[in-house]
Amino acid sequence: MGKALIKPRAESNTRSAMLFACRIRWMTLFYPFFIVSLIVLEPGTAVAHAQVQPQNPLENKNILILNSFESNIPAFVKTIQGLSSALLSGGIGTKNQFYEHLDLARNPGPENKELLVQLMRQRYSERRIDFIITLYTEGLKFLLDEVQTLFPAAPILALYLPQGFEVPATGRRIIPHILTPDFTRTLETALKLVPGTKRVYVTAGIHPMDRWLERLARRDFKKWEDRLEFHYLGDLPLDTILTTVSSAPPDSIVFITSYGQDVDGKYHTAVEFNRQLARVSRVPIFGILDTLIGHGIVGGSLISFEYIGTRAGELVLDILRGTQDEKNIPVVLKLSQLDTFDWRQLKHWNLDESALPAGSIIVNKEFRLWDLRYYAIGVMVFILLQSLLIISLLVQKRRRELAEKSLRQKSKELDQFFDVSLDLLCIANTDGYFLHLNPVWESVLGYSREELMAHRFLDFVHPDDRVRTSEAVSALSSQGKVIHFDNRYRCKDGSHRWLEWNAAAVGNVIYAAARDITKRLHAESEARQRREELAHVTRVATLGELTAALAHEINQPLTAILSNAEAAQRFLSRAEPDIGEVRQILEDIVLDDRRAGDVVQKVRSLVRKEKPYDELLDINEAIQDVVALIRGDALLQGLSITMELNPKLKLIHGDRIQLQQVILNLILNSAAAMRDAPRAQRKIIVRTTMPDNLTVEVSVTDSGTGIDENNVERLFEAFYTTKAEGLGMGLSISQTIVKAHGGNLKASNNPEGGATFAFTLAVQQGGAP
Amino acid sequence: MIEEKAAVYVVDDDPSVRKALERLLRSADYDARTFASAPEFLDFTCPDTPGCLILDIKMPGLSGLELQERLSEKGIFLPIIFITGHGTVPASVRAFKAGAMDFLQKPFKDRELLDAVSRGIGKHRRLRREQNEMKALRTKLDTLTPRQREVFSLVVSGLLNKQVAFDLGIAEKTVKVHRARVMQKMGAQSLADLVRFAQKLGIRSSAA
Repeated sequence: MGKALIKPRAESNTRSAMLFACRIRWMTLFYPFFIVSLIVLEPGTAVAHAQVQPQNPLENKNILILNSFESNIPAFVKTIQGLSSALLSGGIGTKNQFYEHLDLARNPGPENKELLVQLMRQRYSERRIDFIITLYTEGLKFLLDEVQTLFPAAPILALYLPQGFEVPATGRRIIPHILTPDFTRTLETALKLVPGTKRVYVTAGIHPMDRWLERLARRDFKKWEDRLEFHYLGDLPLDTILTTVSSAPPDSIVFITSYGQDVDGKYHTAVEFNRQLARVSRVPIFGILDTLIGHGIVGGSLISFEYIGTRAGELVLDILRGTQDEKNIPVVLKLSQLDTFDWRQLKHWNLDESALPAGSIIVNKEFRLWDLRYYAIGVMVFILLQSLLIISLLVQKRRRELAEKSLRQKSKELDQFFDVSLDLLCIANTDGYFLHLNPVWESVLGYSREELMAHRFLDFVHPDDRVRTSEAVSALSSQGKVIHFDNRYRCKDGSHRWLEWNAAAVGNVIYAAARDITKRLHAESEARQRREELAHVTRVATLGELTAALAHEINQPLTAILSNAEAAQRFLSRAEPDIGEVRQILEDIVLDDRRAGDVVQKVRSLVRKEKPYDELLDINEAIQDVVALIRGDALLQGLSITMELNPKLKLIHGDRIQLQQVILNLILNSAAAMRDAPRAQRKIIVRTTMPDNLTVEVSVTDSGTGIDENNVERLFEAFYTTKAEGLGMGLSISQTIVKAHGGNLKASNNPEGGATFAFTLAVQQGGAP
Repeated sequence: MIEEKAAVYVVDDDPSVRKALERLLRSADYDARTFASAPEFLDFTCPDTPGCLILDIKMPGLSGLELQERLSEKGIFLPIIFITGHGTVPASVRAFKAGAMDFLQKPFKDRELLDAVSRGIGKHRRLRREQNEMKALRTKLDTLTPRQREVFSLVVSGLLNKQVAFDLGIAEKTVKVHRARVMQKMGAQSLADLVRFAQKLGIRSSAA
């Protein structure tokens, strides 16, 4: 029985049978899992298995198995299968298992017994036997009657005794095993399987065992006799039995008990008999012996010889080990039958499997995929999961490879960019050293990269820019944001290059990109200078035309006034002055004077036409814009412009462009005033303050030559200038603008030298924040 | 000798300036005439009296400088005093090149103007005198016969009578007669007077 299925049944003495069946099932069906579990389980499991095996206490125990009949009868073969493997698993090896076959059925005579006794003496007088198992009644009788003295103490387990067998009192332990065939259960099942049954043919032999079993059958079947027709064939010769069965009507079944000996005294085995019977029978055959399974019977509640052997072996082991409580050692061993059916027979007779009792063992089952569906699904799910696992691992591996590849690629790309960049790129640490520089550094500064990296980078910064640079570096490391600044770096030839920086820090590493803006600064400065020259020329030309027009307009009435007045003088100096004439002249003078006044008025209204654009503005922002505009220029002139801007400045109303023009004008004036001062002293401070809550003051302080105290009031006159190239309009215009904004522009000398120009503006009332 | 009363012409587009200048000139006993524009003055026929012209450089329409050019074309050589509100160098250069007498910038002192006017009138008087003299000489010259003219031009070029006779292929005696007639007709007292007249008249030696 290679393959078996079992239905769950809660019956204690079938536990082993179920485990037995389960083991096979596990081995066969879960083979893939088993393989996988071998791979998956941690190696500790195998070690644990090895440790479970205790030091074998039964190693030298000898067991004698005394078989009443020939060695090849199926019941014996099956029993030994179970027994031998049970003993082996308990540590009693094949060498310690002694089998003796008495063959008493074929040789019942006393001579044979004599020989057997001699044989036994020969074999066992010098050998200690620890346990004896006998099969069938004859063996036990022989042992007790003939060779008891050879084995004075060994306990006996006597298998296959018929009911009612009296065990002789010997003073030694004899555990009898009584066969309790269950005909009732088998017939009940058979009737369920073959519902229309009318007749039952019961076959039997004449061997005492056959007879005993037939008696049991007759007794058990009695209760059905009113419903069924029983034909007991035990007294018929073999051929007659076969003929009878072969001609049995369709509504019959055959019940086979055992067939040890036919009526002619010929010995048989139930298996052989059953085969012959199955060949001729046209109706299902049921039985009580599991040896017949596979030889033509449908099944029944069967005496399972292998199972009995196994249980007998386990009992022997329990007794020999002495570990089992004596109370649990049965006085009489009774084992139930196993409901066992042949699947092929069920199919052959077209019997309904569902009519079988719960827990039935079905053998020879041809597995259909459907029966295996859960296992198949399990296996498939497992394989699927494992495949997914493998796929995901492969995918992961591939992804990692791709990521590594793209990382390598990216890093290579970055290296490429680092090398081809036109800008100066560097990585430095906050300790002040370059860590990595791109090749552009060499071409811009003339130093090799090794030279640059050998010194602190501040050593290459222009002395005037070092403080600013180290401030930027410390700001970088503390704030960590991107910082924009510029400074000068020394070249190998001693010149300096202006670099514009963009830098960010991560930890104590600075990543920075710089651009050589020297050329740009020069170009910007030149362009600005040219622009300024042009603007000056334009301004002069425009002014020239303006003054020409203005002069003409005003000179006309002035000329008339003067000429009239002088004519009047002349008339009056005559001997007879013409008073009428003089009066007319005076009237004309008044008219012309009025006319001159009108011209001035007209010019003024012309200027007033350009009304200042009124907006709410932050003067600090306006100043920052202006300073940003001229910073490049200021840097080149070695001028430093510092802004001291009050952050809490209130907003003012005004024209941004005009006010920026004023600030720009004041800064340029200051710069011009410091043209001859030493470089280090060229400092301009643009300051915003709030002298009171309603006023904003903007001042531009320089360290230049200062102003001529005597000419302070003339400063703001038009066309007043101390500059050779100046027109003298700047401060005048500035004053006009400031006054238009309701403020006043003042100039004063600083106690420490230089001058300060300051103007005030009124704070926006109300709405502004 | 009592001088003729001189006339001063004022061309200025500004009426009040015009009026004031007229008064000033009148106070200095000049006969002042005013014009509001250049074309107005061009239409006016000046009396044959000494005078001068006061011109504003900048005027709408025809400017002072353009008027000056037109007058030159017409043969009117009134001395011109330019007045301007705002003198520019190129304008003044142009004016002087065209024969401006003076260039005054407004506003000006009465003396400056009156001096300039008197200088201008003086110049005009001289000019007029010379013109009159020339006119008389030309009238006398016209009375000469062609032969007398020939003799006149040869004599003033410094040739002796003999040479003149040879050149003309006539007798020396005849030259002497012609020469006496020329002196008489031209009203010359001496050869030197004759040479001076010839220069003024632009007579060149036909011998050369």
